[in-house]
Amino acid sequence: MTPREALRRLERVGEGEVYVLESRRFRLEHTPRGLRGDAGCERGFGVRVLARGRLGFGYSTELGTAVERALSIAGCAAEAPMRFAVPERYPEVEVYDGEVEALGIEQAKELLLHAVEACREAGGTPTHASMSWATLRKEVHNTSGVEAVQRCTEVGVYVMSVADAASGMHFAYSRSLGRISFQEVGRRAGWLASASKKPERVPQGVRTAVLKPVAVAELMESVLLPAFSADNVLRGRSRLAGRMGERVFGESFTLYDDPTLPFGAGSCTHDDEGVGAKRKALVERGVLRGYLHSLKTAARAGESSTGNGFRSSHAAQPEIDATNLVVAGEGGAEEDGALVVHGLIGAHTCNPVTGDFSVETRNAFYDGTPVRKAIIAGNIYEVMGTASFGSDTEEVAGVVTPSMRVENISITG
Amino acid sequence: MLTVDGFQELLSQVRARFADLRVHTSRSTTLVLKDGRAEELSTGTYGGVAIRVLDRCWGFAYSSSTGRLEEMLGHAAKAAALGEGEVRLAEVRPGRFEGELRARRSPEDVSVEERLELLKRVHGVAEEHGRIASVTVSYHDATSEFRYVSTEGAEIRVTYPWVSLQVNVVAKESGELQMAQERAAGVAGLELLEEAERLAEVACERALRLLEARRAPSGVMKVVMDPRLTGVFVHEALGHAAEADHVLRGESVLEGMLGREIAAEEVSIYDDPTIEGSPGCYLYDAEGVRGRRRVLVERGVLKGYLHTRETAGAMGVEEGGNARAQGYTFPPLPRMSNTCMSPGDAELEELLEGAGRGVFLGGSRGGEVDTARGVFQFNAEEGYLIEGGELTRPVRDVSLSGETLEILRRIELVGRRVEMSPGYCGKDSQLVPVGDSAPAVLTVAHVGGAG
Repeated sequence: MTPREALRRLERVGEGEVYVLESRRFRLEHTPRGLRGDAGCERGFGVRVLARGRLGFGYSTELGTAVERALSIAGCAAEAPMRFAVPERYPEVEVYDGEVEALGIEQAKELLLHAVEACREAGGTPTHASMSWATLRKEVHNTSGVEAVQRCTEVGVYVMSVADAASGMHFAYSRSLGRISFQEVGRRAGWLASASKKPERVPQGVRTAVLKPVAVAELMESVLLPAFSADNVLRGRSRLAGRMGERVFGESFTLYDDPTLPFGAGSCTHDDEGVGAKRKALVERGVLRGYLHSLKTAARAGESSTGNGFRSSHAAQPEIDATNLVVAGEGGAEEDGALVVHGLIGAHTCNPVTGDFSVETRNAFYDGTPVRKAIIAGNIYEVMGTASFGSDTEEVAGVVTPSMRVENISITG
Repeated sequence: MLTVDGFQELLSQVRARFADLRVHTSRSTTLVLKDGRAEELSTGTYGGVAIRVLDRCWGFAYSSSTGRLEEMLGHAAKAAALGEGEVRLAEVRPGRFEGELRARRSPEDVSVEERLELLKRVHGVAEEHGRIASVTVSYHDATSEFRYVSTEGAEIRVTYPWVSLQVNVVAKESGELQMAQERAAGVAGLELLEEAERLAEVACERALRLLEARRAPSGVMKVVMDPRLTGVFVHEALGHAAEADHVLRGESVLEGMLGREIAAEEVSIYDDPTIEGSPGCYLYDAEGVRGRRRVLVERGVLKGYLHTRETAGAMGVEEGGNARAQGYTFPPLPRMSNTCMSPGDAELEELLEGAGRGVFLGGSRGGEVDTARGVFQFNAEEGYLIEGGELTRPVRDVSLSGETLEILRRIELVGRRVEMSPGYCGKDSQLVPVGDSAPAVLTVAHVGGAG
C-alpha cells in the first residue's frame, strides 16, 4: 500500500494522515575493553484518522496494518476539535549534511579515538566513549494535500572519564559533522574529571550559584520547558497559564524556540505533523510572549499550531516539544562568591508543575576548588526573577545558552 | 520472518566466532484519558530483528524488516573486525525453550470500550476529590514475543503479557499547584489492575497533602525512607554500581569490594527476575540465559555483580543472566530486573523513635547516580518532619543525596513490611521496565530542601 492509497482508504470515513519514518543509524562504542559497532535501519508508519471528530492512531512496519489499526480504534475516542495541517511553503533550513551520510565506520573510529586521546591528554582516564550518526527521512502526507518530505542527519559524541575518585563527562550533538569538535568534547570530559580531584566541602552560607551551559540546559528542559507546552497550559498544569503578556521572569531573560538555526540539533523545516517551522519568542525581557502548540492544542485554543508537534518514533503520537531553545540573556555571570556548577544529577526528578527543583551537582567548584558534593534547591520562577546571564553561549543538544547566575538558592554541602 | 535456517545462511557470509539473533514482536494498545476525555487512543504492531556477531570485537545489526538485514550485517561485521579488545564469553548451556507467561485476564479478550471503562472509573475516583484541577489516566497493554537463536544451538521462544496504568493528578488552591502520581505495572494482565481505583485515591490524597506542605529543611540528618523511596535508593545507589560493565570500566565504587563489608549487617539485597507478575520479570535474558535470583549483598557483604556473558567471562565467573535490551534496536547490557532489599523486623514506630529528630520521606519521581564517584541523587515527593520520634509538619519536594557506601553503612534499622514499585530504568539511552522492592529504613543522608 502506498501513502496515497492509504489516504484514499481513510478518506472513506473522514480525514487521514500518514507519517513515514525511515532511519539508518550507526553507533560506535569505545571502552577499555574494546570497541563495538552497531548498524541498523528502520522503516515504520504512523497513521491518524479523524472520523466524525474522533481521532484514532495506528502504527506498524506495514502501512496496511497501520491503517487498519487506526480505523479499529477511532470509534472509541471522544470527539475533539482537530484538523490536519494544510499545505504551506516551508522555510529553507540546513538539516542535512552529506558528510554524515557518507561517514564510514573506519573514519568514525578515528574521530572517536581523537576524542578519547584528547580526554587522556587533559588528565582524565576515558572509561566510556561513544559516537552515533544517522540519516533520517520523514514524510507527512494527509488528505488536506500536505506532502512534506524532510531528509536530515544527526551526529553525536559522548565521553565519560575518571581521575582518582572524580568523574567528568561531556557531549555534543548536531546535524552536521563539521560542527562537532571531537577534541573539545574529549578534552572537556578529561579536564572536568582531573580538575575535580581532591574535593573539599562547600563553605557554609553560600547562596549564589553560576550554572554553566550544560547545567542551565538540564534545568530548563526538565523544569521550565513543560510550562510552555500548550497542553499543560490548557489543562491548568502550568504556572504560566493565563499570564500571556505579563512580566513573569526577570528583565534580563529572553527565550526563543528557533528551529531555523543552521544544523541545530533540533532544527527542522517542518514538524512531524507537516506544520512549517518558525522562530518564535516565548519570553521577551521577562514578559511571557508565547506557548508551544501542536495541531491538537491549537484547535482547542482556537489558534494556529506553532509547529511543535514531534514524534519520538513512528509508533508514537505527536507530542509538544521545543526545537532549539535559545536563551538570550544579559547582565553577566560573575563567578566570584558563587558555586560554579558544570552539570546536574537527577534534573529529570524536578517538579515541572510547581517549578521546584532540588538536585545534586556534578563537577561543582567554589573559588576554583572542587566541591565534594552539593545539593542546590529552589524554585525556578523565583530564581529566574533575578537571574543574570554571561556571554559564553554554547549549543548543548537542542538548548543554546550562556551561563546563568542565580541568587538566593539553598546550597547544602 | 527470518527462520533459523535463514539466520545460518546470513551468518555464513560473515566472519564470526559467535553470533546470536533476537526477534522482538509486539501488539499493543495505549489509552490516555486527559481530564476524562479519551482523545489519545492508539494501537499497533512493532517489531524487528537484531543480530550480534563476535569477531575481534562486537558488531551489532538490526532492522525492522528482514529485507535490509543483510546490508546492516555487512556494516556490523566490518565493525567486528575493527577492534582491539579480548572478548571472552562465559560458557552457558544453550537454552531450549518454548512457552508463554499467561495473563490471568488477557487485555486482548476485553474490548477497548471495556478497558476505557476501567480508566473512566479511575478518573471518576480522582474527580470526586475537591481541589483536583487536572487528571491524566494512562494505560498500556502489550503482548510480546521474544525469540532467541545462537550459533551455540540455543533456541528460545517466549510470549509475555504486559499491562500498566498510571494516574497523574494536579491539585490547585489559590493559585498554587501540586502534582502527584501513582502507577501499577507488571508482566501480567488486567488482574493486576483490579484495585486501580485505589491508585487515584492515593495520588489525590498526596497532591492535596502537598498543598498544605511547607518546604523541607536542608542539611545532614536522620532520614526514615518509606518502602518506595528505599527501593529507588537501592536501585540507584547500589544496583547501578553493581552492574559489571561499570565495574570493569573502572566506573564503580564497588570495584574490588567483593567479599567485603559494604553495608550495615541488616542489609541484604538481591536481583530477581523470577517474581511472577512483577515489572522486571523474564524467563530468559537477551542472551538466552535463564533468569534467576542473584545475591548482591548478604548481611552487609558484597557477594556479586550483575552480568552479561561478556562481563562474566571477563571476571571469570560462571554466567550472565542480567543481559537486557530495549527492543531489537539495541544490544544487551548488564541491567537490573527487580532489585529487592530483604525486610528486617522493625515497625514504623520503631524507625521513627530511632530517628528521634529528622525527616520521614516518601514517594519518588526517580533518581540518578554517578557510579564512578558513588554519589547519587533521588527525589522524594513528600514527607513529614520527625520531632520527638513522631511525625509532625508535612514537607514537600525534597531530594536526598549521598555517597552510596556511607549511607549503606549507616542504615540503623530496617522495617518489616516490603512493597514493590514499578519504574523504568535508563542506561545508555535504553529504557527497560524494572521493579524495586524494599522495606522502610532509618539512615542518615543529605537532605536538600529549599527551606
